[in-house]
Amino acid sequence: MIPDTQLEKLYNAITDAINNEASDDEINRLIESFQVPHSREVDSIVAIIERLHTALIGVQPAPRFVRELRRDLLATYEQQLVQRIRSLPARVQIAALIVMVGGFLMLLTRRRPATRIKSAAI
Amino acid sequence: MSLFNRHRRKNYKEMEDSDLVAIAATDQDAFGEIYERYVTKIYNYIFYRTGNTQDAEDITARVFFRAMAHIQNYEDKGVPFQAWLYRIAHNLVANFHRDESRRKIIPLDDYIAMSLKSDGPDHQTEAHEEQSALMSAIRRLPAERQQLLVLKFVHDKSNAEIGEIMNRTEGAIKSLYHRTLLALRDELQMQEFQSRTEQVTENRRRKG
Repeated sequence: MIPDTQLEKLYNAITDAINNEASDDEINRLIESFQVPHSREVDSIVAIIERLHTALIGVQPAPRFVRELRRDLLATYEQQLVQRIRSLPARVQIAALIVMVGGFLMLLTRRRPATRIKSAAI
Repeated sequence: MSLFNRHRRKNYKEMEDSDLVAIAATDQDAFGEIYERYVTKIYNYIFYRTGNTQDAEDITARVFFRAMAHIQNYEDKGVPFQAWLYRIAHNLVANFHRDESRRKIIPLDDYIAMSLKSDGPDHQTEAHEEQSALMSAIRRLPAERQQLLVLKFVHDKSNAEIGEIMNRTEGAIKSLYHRTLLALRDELQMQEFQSRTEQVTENRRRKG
């Protein structure tokens, strides 16, 4: 009787090998390395792993679907962003507005000396 | 102006998931990049759990709309972001199956038709039956086992990665996989037995 933990390790190793396109010889060597005798049980599980590997392959979604979903998502994104800002409490909206105006004024005052120096040089 | 330019120059493709997620609630392009990275994976996951393109497209769309609506609430607790997306997908697929079971529809046609497009007609019938048997055996497994198989074979994920997505340890995934294979084998044997019995009954009826 082979312990379950040994079989768990074996089946996981076989799956990794099959997913990496290992040959039959390599799989047989792998089974031997686990010192598990060849049995109908092991063979039937290996056959199932091979079938799963063949059947469960990656599929590509239709490019049109991917493109249209992206467009719809991004259109909704903008609406949500505006809604999120609108749903903020009035005091937060006012505070954000003050910060924005303050920031803008700061940028303006920082730029002014540079333009003055330029005009002086001319 | 330079502030806006700096924002536009971000190279989203090279950013880690965690960095993208951190700004995705307020940065449309960051969310767009997340979408690009995961749309095919999520679509694949849903496709194998539903068995047809129409439902896969519908649920994939819902996953990303839900992710977009809740991304500002997402907290990085050390679990990869993709695990969060897969969980949304998992929950929506579960809802779908609950609704479907009320309607008693189990679609598998798209999957089988698509996977057999390149085969010759003789090979097709045999392969069709085998694929159909395997897929219906998979569909009879509990949801978490189906999820494990899709992540392992379609997405080629390691046990550790699957564990993160399914919120289990690597060891638990290893042993769940073992049990899944055994259950699948039993299910396939049962199907084979049933189809042989049906064939014998049919032959007797013809002779009689």
